[in-house]
Amino acid sequence: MAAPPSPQYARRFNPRRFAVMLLLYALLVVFAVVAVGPFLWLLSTSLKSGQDILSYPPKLLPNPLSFESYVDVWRAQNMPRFLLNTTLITFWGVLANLALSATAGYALARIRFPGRDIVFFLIVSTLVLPNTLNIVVNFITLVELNLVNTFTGVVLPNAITVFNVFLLRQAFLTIPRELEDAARMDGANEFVLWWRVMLPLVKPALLTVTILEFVAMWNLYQWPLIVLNDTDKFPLSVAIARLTVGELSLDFGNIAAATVISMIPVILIFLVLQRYFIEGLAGSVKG
Amino acid sequence: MKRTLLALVALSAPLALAQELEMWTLALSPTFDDYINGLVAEFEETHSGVTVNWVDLPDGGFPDRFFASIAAGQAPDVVNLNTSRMLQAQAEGALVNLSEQATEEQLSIYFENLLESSSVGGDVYAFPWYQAPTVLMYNKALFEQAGLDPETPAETYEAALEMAGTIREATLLEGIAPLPFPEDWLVQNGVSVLDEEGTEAAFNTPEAVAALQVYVDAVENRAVSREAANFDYEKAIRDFAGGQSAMLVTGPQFIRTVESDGPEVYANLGIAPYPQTETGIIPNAIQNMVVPAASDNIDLAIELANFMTNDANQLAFAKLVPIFPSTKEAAQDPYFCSDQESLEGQARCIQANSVGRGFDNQVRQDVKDEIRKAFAEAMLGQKGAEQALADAETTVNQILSR
Amino acid sequence: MALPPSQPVAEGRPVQRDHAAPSRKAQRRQHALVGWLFVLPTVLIFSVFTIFPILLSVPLAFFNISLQLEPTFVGLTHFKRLANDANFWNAMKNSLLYLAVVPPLQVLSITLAVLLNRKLPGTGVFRTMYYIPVVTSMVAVAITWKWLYQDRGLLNGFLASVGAIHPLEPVGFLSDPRVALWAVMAVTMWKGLGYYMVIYLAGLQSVPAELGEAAEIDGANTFQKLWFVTIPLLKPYVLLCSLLSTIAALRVFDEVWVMTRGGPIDSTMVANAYLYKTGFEQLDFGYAAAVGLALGVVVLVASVGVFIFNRRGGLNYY
Repeated sequence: MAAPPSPQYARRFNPRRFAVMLLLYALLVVFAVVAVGPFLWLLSTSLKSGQDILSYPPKLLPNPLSFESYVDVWRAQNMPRFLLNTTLITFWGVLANLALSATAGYALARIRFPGRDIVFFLIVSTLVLPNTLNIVVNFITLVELNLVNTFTGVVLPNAITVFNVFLLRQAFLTIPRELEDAARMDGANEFVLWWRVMLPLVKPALLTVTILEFVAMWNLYQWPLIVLNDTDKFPLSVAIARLTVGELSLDFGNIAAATVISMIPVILIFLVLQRYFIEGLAGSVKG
Repeated sequence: MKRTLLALVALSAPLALAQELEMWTLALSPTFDDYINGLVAEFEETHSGVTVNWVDLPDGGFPDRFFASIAAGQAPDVVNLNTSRMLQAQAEGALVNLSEQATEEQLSIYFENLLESSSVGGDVYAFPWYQAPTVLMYNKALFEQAGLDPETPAETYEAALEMAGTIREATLLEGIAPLPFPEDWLVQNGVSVLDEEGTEAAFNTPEAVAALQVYVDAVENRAVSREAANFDYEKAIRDFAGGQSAMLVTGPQFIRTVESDGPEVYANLGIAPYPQTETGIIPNAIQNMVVPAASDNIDLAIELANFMTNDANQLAFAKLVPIFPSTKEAAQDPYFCSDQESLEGQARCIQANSVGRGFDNQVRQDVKDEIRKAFAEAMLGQKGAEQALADAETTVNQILSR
Repeated sequence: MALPPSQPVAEGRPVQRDHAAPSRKAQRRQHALVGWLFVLPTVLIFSVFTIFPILLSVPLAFFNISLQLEPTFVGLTHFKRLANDANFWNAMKNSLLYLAVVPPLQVLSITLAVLLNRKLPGTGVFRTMYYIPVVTSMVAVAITWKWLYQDRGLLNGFLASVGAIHPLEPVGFLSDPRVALWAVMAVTMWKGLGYYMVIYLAGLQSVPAELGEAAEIDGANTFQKLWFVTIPLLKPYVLLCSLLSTIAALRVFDEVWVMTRGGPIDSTMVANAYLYKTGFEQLDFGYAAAVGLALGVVVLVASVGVFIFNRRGGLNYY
């Protein structure tokens, strides 16, 4: 399992090994086509122009290449503004989740305090209970808190998810006791211990939370739609959705372009952080 | 709802600013930003001390937001709703009765048949805004390919379905899409969906069965695909603009979609009046402006709703996009038949000539769902037409008796 | 609750200083204070935005709620209506079918994880590609999959070109009531594949390499190694994924709603879609709350079931 290519492999050609590799890559490519196909097709559509956008059978590659749809979308909508809004919401959402899961996860894993098990049970039990109707009550709460039409109102109910608390709790559980004891000997208090000793050790788990939340916050749709009033505060997801079911206009090339624009940042983030992401999960789920 | 929830949340109540109006529209931004912002500015200018907050929302999530806002005591003051959502909201008592609260003068500017579409039990609950009486768009190239004369499109729906069958056979493409919505189709064939008080189903009649049977036969004879039972207008537009369908039956505002996404189809585009049924009724999607009963400034809200939909403002809107005004004076404007050259111009004139025959035959959302389900059941062969309608009648009566 | 057991290892045990504590009581008090300080923000936000609304929706199920009138207490009326509501039972049936199909197939992402758990050139790119469906927004899913699935879509085009179907009798992926639910399930699986793959990859990386080597010395081939050594060690991950996918399957909403809105003929109307429809489209909020309660009970039972099944070593059946 996971054996690095041996030095001999580099020197000597092994036909059997080569065949296995070929098969392996073939399989990977097939899966990749299924996974990425729809996105590639969207990308291709966004780069087509005129009749090619909807022609059937569809042309696989845009020819001629046209950036018309992107230009249109960028001109018609205040895209930089929406991108900025989404970025801000995502930034605060990720930060809140990191802070809350790191504190709550730590206490639930390593501090014995009265009520701890009840807290953990309550948090985890919300995973299975229905929440489709929550938005109505939550909106009323936001009204009472005077947070309607603010990013704080968008982020607050999404500031923490069960999975993240659980993930960090598991990550903190795996830290050897000796490290903690050593720090205590040096006279570190609880906060210093948490900040200086423990947090650096769960970095991979924190990165995992970062990616999960980045995706979740970036794609947030229903809640910002309910909370925000000013078009100037809309995130990309809401702004784009107005293009897709138009009573008065539908431009499929533009829809494709806008959707691609909204997806690229998330894909890039995953590409860059994916190694740590998996590491983080590996450190935390172990039962 | 509102009070209980507020009591349960039990925190301080926010202060509402009396002279602030919130207006929601459906998917008009960014295309019509200048137009709407212009109207808002004008209204604010003539009503000193009033601020209008315009919120433009996408369709997905609109119902959630509407419900949550009213439940939280943050009702918008003017809302743009399509007719079935408007009727559903009315059934919940959420809308201001305009027959009582609006002035004669305010109501007098609209076409009577359109006010009828937004009435329940004789009372008006919405100002009709823009309407889109349906026209027939067709692809002349595909007509030729199927051996049909591209200059004589179908005049009756019967003929249209027959042509659709010919086209499908010859080209293996779609003939006509979308079929008129079931609730529309019933009315076009002389069937009322509900009784006059709106308290009981009235669509289980031999005429209704015959109307449904036309659809069932169309599927069976391959005049339309089985997908037709989905009544998906968006997909129909895509197919048509992509050259995959020969006839498109929608409002002419989508000519622009064809122009931008299907220029080759656009080059062969023909425009004709809606293929008639015996009643002569033309399906007509209307967007309405309503005032929620929970608005804290009902009179001013009515004024704004009326202003948004008045003659001058609708005429200006109709010049921006091929829609048709719901007000009598604006509809008289020579503008609508002034241009016989462009396709949009032709469509406008066709609409002008169909004034008075276009009805939005929508029913409230839950009733609509049941009727569409019955149609799909019959069209896909799960039930006979008679059985499907009888079952739907039972369910609809249950819904209405709640 | 039904989650992988917390690690019972010694080092995970809560802090307890054994050296010359001045007063155990004072120490305990300090722990309580610090512990609560750490969890307080989370508990607060959770209580207000998650637990409170859930608790509130329980009484709502016993009221008739309208947008304008005062709520009226109706007792068990909604539950009686639920019992006779054919649409509700149809939705439950669809949800249970979802449950029966999607979570078991989710285990297939182990295969992907195994394939990618090698230090070969390009695996990082492949991982990212498999993860793209996970990050795809619902708007994009709606556009692309509806387009792929339609009568004159890519899939039918392909089937027609290889002669599997007549062009006038395409597979109604989203229009044939016998097919639509399966087509929607496929999208759910497509979207979940990468997510579960990543979790399994994490699991594989925590399997000590020495174990595999030892098995190799004993003469095990790749598949034996996988079956007898790797997969049993993945057990906690299988449990986690089963649980997550079970809950997700019963709560599925987004992809159903954006693609079919529950149609054709309610064939894809799953419980959560029905709940949304009654609550927000038909504005029947009290009844929707009752539907929500019923669904909650089902999710709870299923989760506990998954937990017990896995604990008993049901893993052997995968």
